[in-house]
Amino acid sequence: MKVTPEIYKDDQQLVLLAQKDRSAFGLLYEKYFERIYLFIYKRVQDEAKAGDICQEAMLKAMFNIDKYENRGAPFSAWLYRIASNEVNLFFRKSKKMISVEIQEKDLKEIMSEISLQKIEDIDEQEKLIKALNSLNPEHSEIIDLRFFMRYSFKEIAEFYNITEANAKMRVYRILDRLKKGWKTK
Amino acid sequence: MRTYKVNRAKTPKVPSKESIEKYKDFSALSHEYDKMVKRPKVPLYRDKKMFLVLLLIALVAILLSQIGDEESAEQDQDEPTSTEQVGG
Repeated sequence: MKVTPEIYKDDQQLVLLAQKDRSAFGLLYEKYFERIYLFIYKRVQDEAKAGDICQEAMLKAMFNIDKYENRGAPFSAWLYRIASNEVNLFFRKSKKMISVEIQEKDLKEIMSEISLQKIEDIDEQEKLIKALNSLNPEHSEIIDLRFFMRYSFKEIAEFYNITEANAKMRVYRILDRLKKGWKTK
Repeated sequence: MRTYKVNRAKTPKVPSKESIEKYKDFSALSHEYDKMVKRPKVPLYRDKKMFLVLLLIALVAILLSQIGDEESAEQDQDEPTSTEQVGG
């Protein structure tokens, strides 16, 4: 089958092609590799490791393409989810501590979201870093998506295959938890 | 395991398109996929180690069946027939 630009634009058609013939997965690979790579890179901040994780994620996607069902969310959300699982697995497996840099402005944004007054205060920022480091992997994934990768609530909803309201609720629940932890310190 | 740390000065580094291309290799991915899903070209019995394992399994199975046969034959000999029971 000849792949026209219209088909290339339509992920669902590309998925159908890949389900019939695995070599057609190459079209999806070509289309999404860069985006998935950058998504992984932002979380691991190491080019070579991001490359390895990206290949692993793509392999899993290729292997499981038959299981993919269109439930309304874009196909890319499914790919990002696989990539994120691979990143989490990488962090869990790594024996040494991996430091991930976050921008000061992103940190300040979280501080203002949880209504902290002294957002310029370095000690307060370090306190927040400590609190973020104590979050469980699921919660820090949501914080990563929202504040460090600048995902909208709609994108978070697509990522988890939940409603936008639910995505908002999840984010604010974690922020609330951070805020409560702050008050008790 | 990972920890966050603040980057206060430098702007975040983003990999260039060229460096991303270095990691893009669909033929390697296809090869990995084939390795995962395709049956090995050499049949199991052609593999020396596997051949020995299969042979061992077959021998054990034969041995067990022979032991079973012998035991059941001995039991048949020990048990008196119904005519013997009536006559004795």
